[in-house]
Amino acid sequence: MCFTSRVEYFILKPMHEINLTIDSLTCIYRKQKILNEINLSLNNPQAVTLLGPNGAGKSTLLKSLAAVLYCQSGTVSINALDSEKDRLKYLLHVGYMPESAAIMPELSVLEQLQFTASINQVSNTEEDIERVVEICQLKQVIMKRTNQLSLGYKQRLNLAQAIIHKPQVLIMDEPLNGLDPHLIIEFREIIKQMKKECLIIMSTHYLAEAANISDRVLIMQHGKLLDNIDPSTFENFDLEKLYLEHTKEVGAV
Amino acid sequence: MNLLQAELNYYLRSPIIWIILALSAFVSAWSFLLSVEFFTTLQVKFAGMSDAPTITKGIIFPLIGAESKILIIIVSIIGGLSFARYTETYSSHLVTNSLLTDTQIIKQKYIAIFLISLLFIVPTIAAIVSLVFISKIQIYTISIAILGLLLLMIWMLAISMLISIFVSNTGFSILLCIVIFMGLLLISQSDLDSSWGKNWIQVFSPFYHFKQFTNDYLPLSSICYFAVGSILSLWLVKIRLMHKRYML
Repeated sequence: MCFTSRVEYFILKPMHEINLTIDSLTCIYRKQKILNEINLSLNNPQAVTLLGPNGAGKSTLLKSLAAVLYCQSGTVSINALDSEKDRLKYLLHVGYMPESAAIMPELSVLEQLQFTASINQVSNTEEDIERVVEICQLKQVIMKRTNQLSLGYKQRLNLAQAIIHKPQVLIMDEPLNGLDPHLIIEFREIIKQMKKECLIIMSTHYLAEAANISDRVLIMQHGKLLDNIDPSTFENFDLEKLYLEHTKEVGAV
Repeated sequence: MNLLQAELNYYLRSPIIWIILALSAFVSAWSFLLSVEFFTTLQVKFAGMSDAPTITKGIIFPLIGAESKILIIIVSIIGGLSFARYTETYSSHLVTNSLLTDTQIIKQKYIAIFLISLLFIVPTIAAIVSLVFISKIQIYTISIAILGLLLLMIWMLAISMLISIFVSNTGFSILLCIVIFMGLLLISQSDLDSSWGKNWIQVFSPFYHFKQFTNDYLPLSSICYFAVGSILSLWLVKIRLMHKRYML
């Protein structure tokens, strides 16, 4: 793998300041607060990792940021573009990689990318498909049906779909789940390259990877943001210790 | 590849569509041949009758009637898959979270299922048209009946799409469509009309309105029934699509 040869492909949109703001975001499901008064402001370029036990509200928060889900109260905005009111303009800036790859089993990888490019109104379809195929190393399977892909390739395709329209905010829900060590290393390198140009927000349970990749770590529990950590401010950053300290009261939900 | 093309690809690459197309073509052809045989057998008797049934009423109407019943299965499968399969494969947000508006999504998906369903009734229409060359048929009356069949299909597709968006399992979605359409067919076949006055519940059935198209005139109330029903269903699909974004 030679990542340096792919660096030129990582160039997304001409860089400009992006500010993602979450204001008093509260999501209620069956009288239970899944997200409880979340307030946050993030700028690009950086990688932010969201940690927390199962059921902490990580996926709900990421879905809200990706405008997949709207909460009962509070707002999410990018440069004052509201995720609900300015939905289509907001979506231009956001790429979302869900936990389970969103693929259409009857299409080939190339067709799937052409389809994603079309519905996201990508102007230079061929060029952009070439770019994401190169970044996510999909050349080998480009003509294969998506339902014949291994989990690793499905995740690569999942990422390719999320970045095909050159978003400035990339949201990834547990992208490392189920990947073998080689793929985890590859994803780590891809994220490290991409965080130079865009704001990456991802959730994971791999603390070592989170410590390695992140410029900022958010810890969640019971729908609340418990801590917002900048690892560079620590002399000896021990994420495992910090995480366990914050979440010691509960196990998995 | 836009959404319409992707949808058409999905259906045309599904073996089940081709199996059903083959089966429905066989059933339609069988019904057609039976009608022809029945009609020719009775030709001698018809010769002495003053109001003997014409080819239109003896062959073509039974064929169109049979087609309307075959449509129950076809539309249930095609329409029932439309949204439910997205939920089943976790790919719904790929489309609903794209730069397409909800109206564009519904429009493109609806056109796709309409075109695929059209595949199934084209052979029947072709069989009817072929009769024009060998016999004297009432083209105006037949055109009205075919229009009724198309409107019935449009209505059923909109309803099945609505059912599909409420269900996350494709099998259940198809089954639910079949049960609902069969129920509506049974309602339309009630014989209470003549002896107990108008049976109002029949008026809710699309098959009752379809029957109105087998007369010599255009039934405006039935056209309104199909148009309003289809538009209302598609509007509810849009509302549901919007509402889904507020559901965890």
